[in-house]
Amino acid sequence: MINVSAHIAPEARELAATAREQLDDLVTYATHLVNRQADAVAFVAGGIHHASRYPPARLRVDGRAALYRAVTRACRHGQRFPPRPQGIGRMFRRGAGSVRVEVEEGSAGRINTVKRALAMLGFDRRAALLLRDLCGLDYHEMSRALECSPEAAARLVAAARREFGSIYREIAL
Amino acid sequence: MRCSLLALSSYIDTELDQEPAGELEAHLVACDRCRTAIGHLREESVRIGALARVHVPDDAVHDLFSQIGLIAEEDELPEGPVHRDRPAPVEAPPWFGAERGAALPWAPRPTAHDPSQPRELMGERSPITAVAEPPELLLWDETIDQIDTAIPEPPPVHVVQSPEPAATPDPDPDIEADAVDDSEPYPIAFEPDSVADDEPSPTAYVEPSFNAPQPPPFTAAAPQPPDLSTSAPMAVPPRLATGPNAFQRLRDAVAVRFALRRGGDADFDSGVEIVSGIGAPRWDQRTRPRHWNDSRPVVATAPAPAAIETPSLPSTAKPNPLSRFMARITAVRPVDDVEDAVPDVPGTDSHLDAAATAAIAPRDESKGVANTAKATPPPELADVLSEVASLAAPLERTHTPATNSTYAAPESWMDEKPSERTFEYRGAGSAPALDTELESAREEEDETHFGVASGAVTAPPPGRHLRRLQSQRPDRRDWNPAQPVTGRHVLPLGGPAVGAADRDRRLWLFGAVTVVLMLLGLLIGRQVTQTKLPVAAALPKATAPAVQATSPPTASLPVATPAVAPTAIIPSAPAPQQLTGAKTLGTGSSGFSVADVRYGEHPNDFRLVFDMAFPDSVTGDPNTVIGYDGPTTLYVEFTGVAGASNIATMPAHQVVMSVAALPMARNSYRLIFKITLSKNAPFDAYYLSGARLVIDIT
Repeated sequence: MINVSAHIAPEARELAATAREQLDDLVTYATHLVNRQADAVAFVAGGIHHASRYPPARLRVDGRAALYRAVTRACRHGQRFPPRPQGIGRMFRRGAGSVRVEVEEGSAGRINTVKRALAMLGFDRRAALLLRDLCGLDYHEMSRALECSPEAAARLVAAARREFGSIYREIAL
Repeated sequence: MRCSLLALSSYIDTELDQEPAGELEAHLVACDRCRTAIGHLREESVRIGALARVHVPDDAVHDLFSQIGLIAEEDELPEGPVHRDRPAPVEAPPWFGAERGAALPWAPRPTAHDPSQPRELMGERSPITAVAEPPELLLWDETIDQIDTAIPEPPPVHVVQSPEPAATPDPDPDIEADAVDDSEPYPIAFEPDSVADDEPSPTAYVEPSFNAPQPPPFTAAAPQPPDLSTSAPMAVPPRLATGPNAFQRLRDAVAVRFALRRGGDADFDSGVEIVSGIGAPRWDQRTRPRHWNDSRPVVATAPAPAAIETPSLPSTAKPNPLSRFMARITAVRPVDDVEDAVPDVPGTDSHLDAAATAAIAPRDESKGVANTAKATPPPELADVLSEVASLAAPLERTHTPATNSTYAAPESWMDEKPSERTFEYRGAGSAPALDTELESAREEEDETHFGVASGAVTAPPPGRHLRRLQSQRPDRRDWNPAQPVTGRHVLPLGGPAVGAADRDRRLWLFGAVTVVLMLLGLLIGRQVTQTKLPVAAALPKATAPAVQATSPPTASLPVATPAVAPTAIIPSAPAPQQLTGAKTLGTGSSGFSVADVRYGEHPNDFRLVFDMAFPDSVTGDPNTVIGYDGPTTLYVEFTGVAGASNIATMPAHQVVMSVAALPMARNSYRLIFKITLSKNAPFDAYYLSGARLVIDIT
């Protein structure tokens, strides 16, 4: 007999605990970041899957910032889990192989003025704004999530607020 | 403080340090523009924070994690999330009625960490960073009778003790009683017996802690949680708003006034500054950066120990009058500097050593509380003034040593510390010794690395930039490695920076020299171009000799005017009408070019031959005018000739001295040869077949 049970590393429990704690915020963040709920779950799954390859010390040091970084990278580069077949292989794909989970998105999937203004920002500014004001990360955590310096994160948030405000006031009339 | 968008955004995110946050709050009092901007930024933050949330059910989480491989399918999910209320990132300034603002001089009361809330690995704020809880604005329903009219205790002070040895602090019953009285606002466990007769409340409200807006007490009784194991009804304590009383608001207003007053004309030693609005320096006040304040730090303490009269050194920098006034009131040097100020000098009086020991003693926390409590007299006028000074002291822009840095705080060479010097060496009682010690201290200071004490410093490895610093002038050694690297601090390293144009006079000098050089260049260039006249200006000059030359023979001919632009472009080339004895040849064809010019003796005359080159499609001859311009200058002007090529220079002859082709004007198809003869002789000209011009000079 072949043991088909998944191999669970000891440190995977730590990551699972952290991801379980932050999963709602991660999916919310990805939903507003990519504006598509189905893709958001796939991106979050891809980010967590990528983060499971991180060294355990990084997870312990960075904490939730490591998860946000992985999800941000997944959203930026379109890394889903399971990955979409590339090349000629996608011609022979049978059905959708994405993660099937049901989430209670509520009104997060509906578009409104704020989300419309948010969608007009660039990816980095949108991510910075969501990380700060929606997820509550501070500048040091944002610097790890966005892979920049804390000063750059502060400038990114300030510029994103200004641009978002101008766009919102323009389209909210 | 630079009230930029970045500063405002960082402020509403509570990411600013305490000092710039306080300066920004003081700036926000009177700057409508910044208040409006910060209101907009808060609106954007609230809008983003109000976006809808997504919740992932537990079964979906299990499926997701099992598909990813974090858990096995038969495993249970890890512990669920702990929902926390995200702290609001907005801190209201104290004049809004908040219980504490960053501008206030005392630190927030340390609150015990709630064990029910997990500590985050990241984003754990250090206790230095003051982050106040979001205040409940406009909820101050305290009546006038409930306002505490008692003068609150001043903030804790460091006291220089008398030279008696520090004894083990024994608990003073009076102090303990006072401490118990101070802890009155804290929650007290309600005894079931006393409230048993009260009306039972269906929702017994228990307030775990009561933050009274008072300075930190010396000792506070631990709040006793109510006994929840019993089912006895408990009375709901009256929930009073935690707003400050009238005196505290007055004190805050005084603190803000001090900040504004000082911000108007003070130099800024930090990397940020107010650039607009009230409190911003005028344009002429941004001269040179001074990293340190000249005024002495004002510290409020108990009455001065032993009131040592100190001879003052000649001051090099005049301190602020307000600071001098406050220093006269307090008349006690800072406690933190006492340890450094008292050297181990043989011959020093014993009471100085004891004073130094006593000054260091309050650093022990267990002793410091008792000593401070003992030294707190009933409030009097001097105490109130001291308190005002203590309010102003944290707002002074004096340098605070960085305790967490590996570098000790460097001190500027320009700073004078008369109290330190005189306090140290008064025991020696001799002026020469004082000078000697001053010199030695100054030498020690010079031996340090750029103002950094070598004893307390981990010397950086010598590098190129450090060697350069050592080789610079002494005023450039004001560089402080503990300060953040901004444009201002980079300034002493590499000369004037672009952003520091208004702070360095050398840039103004450089700009003035540059402008003068540009003006000189313009003047010189103008004179140079005047010597070379433009083409239009050369037109009359070109025609003037021709007119003079042709005036005797052809006086009745019309004189060429400068309007004949193509002919006038060629200098010293007369028009055909200006030639004397002119002879016109040719059939008006074009497309020729002069291939060769030859001349030599011919029977009965001297012959010049112009060989033309032309394509096969061209027939006829070009128009040619031959005539004298002067007695010995013969001009041959071709029209319809593109140019001359490969004309070999022939040696001078007895008749023909030189043959030269004048430069052609562009696209004029007019080629002129100037032939200088040795004598004035009549000529005959004609075309031979093949467009060959022959000129026979008799």
